[in-house]
Amino acid sequence: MDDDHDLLAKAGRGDREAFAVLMDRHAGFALALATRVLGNPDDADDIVQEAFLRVWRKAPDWRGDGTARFTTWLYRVVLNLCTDRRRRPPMLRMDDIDEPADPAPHGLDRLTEAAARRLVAEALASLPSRQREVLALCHLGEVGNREAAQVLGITVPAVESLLARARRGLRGFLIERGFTTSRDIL
Amino acid sequence: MTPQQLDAFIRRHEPGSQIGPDRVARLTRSVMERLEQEPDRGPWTHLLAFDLGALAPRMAASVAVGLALGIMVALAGSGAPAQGTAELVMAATPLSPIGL
Repeated sequence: MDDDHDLLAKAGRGDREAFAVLMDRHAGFALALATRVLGNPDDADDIVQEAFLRVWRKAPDWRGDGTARFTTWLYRVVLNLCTDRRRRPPMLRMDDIDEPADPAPHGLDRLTEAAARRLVAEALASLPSRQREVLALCHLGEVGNREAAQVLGITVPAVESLLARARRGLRGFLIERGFTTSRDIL
Repeated sequence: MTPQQLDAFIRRHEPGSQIGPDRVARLTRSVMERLEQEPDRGPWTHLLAFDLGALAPRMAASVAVGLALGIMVALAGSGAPAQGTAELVMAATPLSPIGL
């Protein structure tokens, strides 16, 4: 199986199939990253499409010297585009429209699930942008602290510090809203 | 709430966890369709796509001025007749009153 550098080199020579493989490999996390940072799936889709188009256009200039990882570059492009998008006025998300009570069985469960998702999205949105970016990259273990530091252009200790502060911020946000250890959500 | 409980809660409900393979496949198809509108490129065409804007503004300005000067010099020189070495030496030797 080709590694990312090989696929990118082929894409740089115009090989669309190689590019499709590269995209299949990394689009999932790129989408998750943009969705966590922006909190809006539609915006995240646009951002990731734009990021991969930029990768395609810049692929001929890629100099894979074995030290720089393709994902470091990709995540940086995604986060930069997210920063640009956040400067624009936000669009109303479908999730922001209150759902009516569903009389069907399990309707309450669905509402609780939606409320929990909204709560986490609000908690993420309440964090300063740098903390949110670190959390979006590292919290679930997809990206190591060292690569996150390269993506963000900061040191590894700074990543660790931001991550710890982000977790404290999330916990504080949830506790402020009365969320303790309610078993129905956990 | 313990940190473990917090992690579990976020892991389950964070927006990135809602992304399924269908959404990824749809996005991949969209990008591939947009690539159809991109120009084909051979192994050398990227050399023509040199983007001045990608450089830092001051560096881009320097490159642009350098290119303009180079083109001006090339155009100015292209109309001059070719000269031999002897002619060039004579032209460079200052004339003195004695020589006259």
